[in-house]
Amino acid sequence: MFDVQNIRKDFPILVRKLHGSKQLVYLDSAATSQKPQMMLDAMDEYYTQHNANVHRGIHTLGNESTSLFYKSRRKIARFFGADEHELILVRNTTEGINAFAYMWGERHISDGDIVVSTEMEHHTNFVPWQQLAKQKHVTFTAVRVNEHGKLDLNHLEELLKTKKVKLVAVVHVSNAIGTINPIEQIVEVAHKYGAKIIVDGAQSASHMPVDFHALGCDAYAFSGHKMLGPMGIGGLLVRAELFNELQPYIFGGGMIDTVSVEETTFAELPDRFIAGTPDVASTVGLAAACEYLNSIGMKEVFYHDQKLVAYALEKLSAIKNVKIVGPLDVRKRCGSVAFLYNGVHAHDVAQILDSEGVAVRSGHHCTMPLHAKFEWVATTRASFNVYSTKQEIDVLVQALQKVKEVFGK
Amino acid sequence: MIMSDLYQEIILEHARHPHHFGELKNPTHTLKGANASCGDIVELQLFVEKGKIQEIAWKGNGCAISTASSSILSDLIKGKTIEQAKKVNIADLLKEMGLKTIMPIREKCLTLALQTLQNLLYNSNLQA
Repeated sequence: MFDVQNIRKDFPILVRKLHGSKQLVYLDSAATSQKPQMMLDAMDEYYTQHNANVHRGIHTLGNESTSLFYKSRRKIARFFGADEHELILVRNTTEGINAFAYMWGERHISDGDIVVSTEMEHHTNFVPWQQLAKQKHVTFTAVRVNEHGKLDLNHLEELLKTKKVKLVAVVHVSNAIGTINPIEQIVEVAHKYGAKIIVDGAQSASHMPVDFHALGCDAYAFSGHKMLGPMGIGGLLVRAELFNELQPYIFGGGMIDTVSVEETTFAELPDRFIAGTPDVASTVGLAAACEYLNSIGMKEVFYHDQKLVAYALEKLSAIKNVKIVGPLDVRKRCGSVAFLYNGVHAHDVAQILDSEGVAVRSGHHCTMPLHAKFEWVATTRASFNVYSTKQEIDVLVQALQKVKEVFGK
Repeated sequence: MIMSDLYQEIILEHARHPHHFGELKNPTHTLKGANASCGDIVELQLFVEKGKIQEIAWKGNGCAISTASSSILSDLIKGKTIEQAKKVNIADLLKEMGLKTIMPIREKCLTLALQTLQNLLYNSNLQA
């Protein structure tokens, strides 16, 4: 049984008061999630009890640290339904996607190819491909999005039919408009025409059950800090079959087998793709976050989110000058609700909301092509996680009243 | 800084009815500026004659702070010589807006028009 009040007790930051007396109403989880005490304790315990460098030590602490590291990595991979060796640890989604661009894109995209992203894409799964395409003198283009926030799959198929598309970069859940894209469907059509798919999973990882094998995509990147884990750790999942097509993107210690003046041979998978001392503590932290989420159950997490999104859609659309962006059907979206406020800039909305203790994000949310297409100067976004409540949405709605008082709109 | 300081009457008034908003018929100088973090854009136009800013107009789609700041800035520089206009800075703006300070996150909103003006004055070889 999902008990949000009980869950909230696990998140120490939520008791904070702002501007003296205002209760913190944190509605910016899409930017970064708050952290459960058990995750913080796990990292603390690592540093106070088990800290040592991994792989190389014969001594006790070295063994403990290495064992914890491998155990944690396994836990994280399993959380996503992936095999342990399919997980390459990186700093965040952005680093994961850039790594894939270098490890796979560099070698497999060349003359005459097309690289495809989408109009709703976060810059992280857009810019690296655009820049790679530029460097390789190939075509980069974006699949269209309609005014209901839906990806135009006919347009995608049209592009794929040219048989020149090497890669499709698509977001699982949009951080700007909440759209849930039908990844399995997209994978099917992309693979039919010989294209690979890389999915930006930053917003899906913490909101719904993700099964990497069932999704069928070739690569999937995610950020630990958006799923109750610490900042500085994330993952790139790559299908086992693809590993032989990857070249290392970072060289040095840990990813080698033998090194001599004449030449170097590389380690087995997946160690080949991670060099230098890893962030063991953060890996331990992320594994703890996965454990926490599993204890709730990702299906329950998803239902909770859907209830909040439905409630936010209902309450916000009742406000006179508010226009919601993205799908209006709760089943088509997840994680957040963003809106335009007629006559008041998103910055000012966010500022006034902050004065009432409500934290939201305003601007273009790293989706400039999307905002430019629909001529949204800036949007204001409220986003949720396991600790968010309906009452918090009520406070948001009430605080929006203040915008009306100040601006008369 | 409490909200009522930031959104006090003078700022709201300028945000509602910004001075010199629009376009000039025959500007001698034009420059666009943008605040990348939020998408705010401002376009500044000057009519410079005999070393003085005779006319000024600007257009933009920004927040209340950047709108008020652009409006107040336009009042400050109209009729000034190029050299005088070059000297206008954040402190002058804050003073006119009745603010002691601005929080770091809104600073770019406050300085968008000023930054654009300075780029225009310093980079276009305007004669003093």
